[in-house]
Amino acid sequence: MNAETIFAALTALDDALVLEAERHTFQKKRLWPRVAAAAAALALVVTAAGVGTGRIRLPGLGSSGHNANGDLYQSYEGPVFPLTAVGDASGVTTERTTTFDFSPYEQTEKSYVNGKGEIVTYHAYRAEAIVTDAYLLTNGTDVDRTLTLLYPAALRLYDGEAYLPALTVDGAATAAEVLAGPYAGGFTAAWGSREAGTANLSEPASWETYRDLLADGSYQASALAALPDLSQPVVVYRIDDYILPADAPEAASLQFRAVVDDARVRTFSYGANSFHRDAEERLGYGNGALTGAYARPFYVFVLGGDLAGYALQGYANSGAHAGTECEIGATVTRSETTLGAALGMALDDHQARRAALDEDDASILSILPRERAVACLAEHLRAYGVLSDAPMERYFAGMLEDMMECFWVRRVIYRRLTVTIPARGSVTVAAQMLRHPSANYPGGGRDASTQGYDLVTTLGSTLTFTAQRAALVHAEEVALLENDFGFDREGGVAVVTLDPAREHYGLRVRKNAAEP
Amino acid sequence: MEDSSIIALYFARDERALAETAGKYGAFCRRIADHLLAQREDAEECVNDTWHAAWMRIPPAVPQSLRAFLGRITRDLAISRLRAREADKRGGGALLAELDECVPAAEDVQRALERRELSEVIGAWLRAQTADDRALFLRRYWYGDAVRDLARERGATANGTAQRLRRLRASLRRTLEAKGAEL
Repeated sequence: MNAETIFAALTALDDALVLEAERHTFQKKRLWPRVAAAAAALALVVTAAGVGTGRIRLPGLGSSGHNANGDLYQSYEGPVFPLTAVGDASGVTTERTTTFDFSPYEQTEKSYVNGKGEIVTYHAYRAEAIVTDAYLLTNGTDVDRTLTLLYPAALRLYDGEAYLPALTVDGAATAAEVLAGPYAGGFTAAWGSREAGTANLSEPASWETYRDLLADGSYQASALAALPDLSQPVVVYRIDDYILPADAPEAASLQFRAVVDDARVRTFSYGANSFHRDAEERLGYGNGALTGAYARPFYVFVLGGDLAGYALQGYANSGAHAGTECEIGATVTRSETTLGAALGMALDDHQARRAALDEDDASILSILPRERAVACLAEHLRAYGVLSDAPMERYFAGMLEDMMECFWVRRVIYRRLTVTIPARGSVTVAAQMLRHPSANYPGGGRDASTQGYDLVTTLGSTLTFTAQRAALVHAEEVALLENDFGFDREGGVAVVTLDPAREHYGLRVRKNAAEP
Repeated sequence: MEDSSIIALYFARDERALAETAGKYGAFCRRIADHLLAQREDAEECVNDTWHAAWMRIPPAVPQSLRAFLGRITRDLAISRLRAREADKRGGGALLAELDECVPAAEDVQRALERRELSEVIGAWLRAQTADDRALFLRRYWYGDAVRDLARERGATANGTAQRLRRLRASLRRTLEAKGAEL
């Protein structure tokens, strides 16, 4: 026996032990208890004096959406945004009440059948809050006012429908359009790289990112803009009907090769699963799924011109190295279409494949009108992909499968509705949604047992707020750790008045019961 | 994407399984490889080899936990690389040196405990520890987390954490020696 034997034996430990260790939160040892006690006493004095005015930030989240250590959350979900109006909303005043309902944290018993056929029960809860954001809009004028309202939410298009705010007007459900703003983040270097780069996503990590994003109104304008013109002609090469000899290698692949020597010509693919570009700018899109139930056509799209020619070459595997060539045939069909139609075809196929894998996938994307989903794909391709003048490294291959990531990235999604407020009358508009918390990853070196929720008071809103309140419901399900709001469960303070002049409020919670 | 859907892609021999796995568990496996190998190039190759190994093993394997399954492959590949480094005299890593302290002195104990039994004994020993000690030991010797990072998470000093780990290693050695004596 040696250290390697012990190492190997540890590797073979059962899953439960290994996974438990990863998500474990250590009981913190208290260093310098006297200093900590003094700091706590000071904080109490400051809090008592200042929290009612909203001018003093409690420790922890502060007004920045940061966690108790002053660090950003590893996964920041974005704040709850306020309702806003498009155009003139003068003469209308607004009272806002935002409720965080922690009932999803309630522990429930679940069971599954393990490998031995035994029923194993376990406890589970959802670390999410139901947020109800209600607005009393009062028309102080002598004429009826019709307003176009927008309710923004930081989301991803692949988030479930339950996360999309559902709107009511005076308690009645109302239809509201879904409009998606562009990707809210940026790009950064590959993990571990010391050099600048654009190989990875850099998603918004704090509420300030959203503040900057919405500051000049251009982001909202992009979301409301008319659908883009996607009528540019595109030449499509569809490669299908593969012909393989009986003794073809099992992992054989087919490459579509072309030389693009005109800088105005851009190419991208769908259905291909490999990409090559050599020193002479020869492009190659390849497919390794040529036989059986998973064989599928692949497409090469050409925008801004056409290919001077192309060649097909079979290889023994997807490496497509010289010396591994083999005979494979295929039918290449050339056709012409538009950018919109090409992207629409790829999107429909991509969605159908996702649906086949996960039939319960009811995402926001599934209720976004198709032309808007295609516009999102086009926007990402034009802003960051091969149709951009400066494509991100992340999308260098021009594969539309990579661009479908636009449905995973964070953005602000707006719900648009129109309401008429009678002269000297009021209307209540409420948005209700499930909210993911901001959180840290288990084993990521930070406290993963707590979750953060935050709110911005007036950011991006043109409404005139006369009062803002926040409330907690089912707060017994969580321990309130830090909060800027001034909630005090033990002291019976579950409803607080917010200062609209203060931009941001946050709170951090932990599930009350021990983790199952 | 849910693990079950990723595993379905492996079964369908759909190469998107690799992209989905890398997207979901890349950081996790990279962390283990980085911590165990402490060398970026080696760690990156180790993670890439993990995807290849997963592709070769699923099917027939149907992991109960894809996360643990992949972590286990990364560890196995990392130890192979550490072994190669030893052979090249490039240093085998501090973790193995620490684990040496768990090795019982008596030869007969070493013969008596097969790897599987050894794993069971270590599992039982871990379950007898407090949750904090159990996590501390595994985070150091399964995930390869640095002592200073563990110290920060525990709110303790690095020296105190190293001392705690030393006690745990000594406790495990005594347990293995006692178990060997029983057999």
